[in-house]
Amino acid sequence: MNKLVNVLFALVLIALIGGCAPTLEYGRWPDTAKLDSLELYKSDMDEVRAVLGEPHGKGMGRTPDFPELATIWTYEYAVTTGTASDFSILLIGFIDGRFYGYTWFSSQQKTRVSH
Amino acid sequence: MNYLNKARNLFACVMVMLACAAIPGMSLAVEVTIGEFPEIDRLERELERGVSTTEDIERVLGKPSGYGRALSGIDGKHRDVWYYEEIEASVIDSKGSVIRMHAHQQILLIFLLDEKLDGFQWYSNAGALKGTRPGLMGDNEAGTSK
Repeated sequence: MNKLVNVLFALVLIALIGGCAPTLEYGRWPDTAKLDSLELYKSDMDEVRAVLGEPHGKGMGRTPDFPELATIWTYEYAVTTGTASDFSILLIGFIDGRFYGYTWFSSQQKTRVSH
Repeated sequence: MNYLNKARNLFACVMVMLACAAIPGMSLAVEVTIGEFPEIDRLERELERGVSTTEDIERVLGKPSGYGRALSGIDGKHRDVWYYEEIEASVIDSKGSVIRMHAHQQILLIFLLDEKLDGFQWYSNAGALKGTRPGLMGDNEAGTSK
């Protein structure tokens, strides 16, 4: 997180010094249409990696969606130009190393700036 | 899934990006807003799980900011996701290497099964972000959010 903030500030400063409107981008977004090729309770982590690519982050969870301790992979993407923003998040759940579901959502919106 | 917390982390980063990007010449009197949040109390008052349709939801909550999809291992069913958000950030001040910001974020996820309301989650916070410009710190602390 700290490294990320450093990188972002560096990007912003470079853009400001350059006198142009900065476009800032973070993460990578997989092709969510490929989620349909995964088999619930069967596909393993290698198959998910082959379909979606390397995850951006990893975690664990035990929630109503996951009756047993689950491994969670995350994929994130954000881009902003200062006037428009696009955020996307995908979470993949595994139980006992097998694909156990996903949630993703994505938005594209204008940014309002007031001075 | 704990996607709301994940979203919060991502948005905190993005708000720092936005606030900085929106500061021409580092002028500090700036407020950045993304999206528009619906009247959340109308959700429980006017919508009903398993009954309300996508048209009902759009009439009550407005057009969503974004869309998505979910597959639950519990029942093996796919659900459509509608996503509403509003994020406001304003710079409080900038002293030395530190930029202090106010940030207010609200997120609502609507889950639809067979084009009818199946559930929702919403989240709101009022917090502060603090970022540090690179190259101006004396130690390894580069930025925090909370």
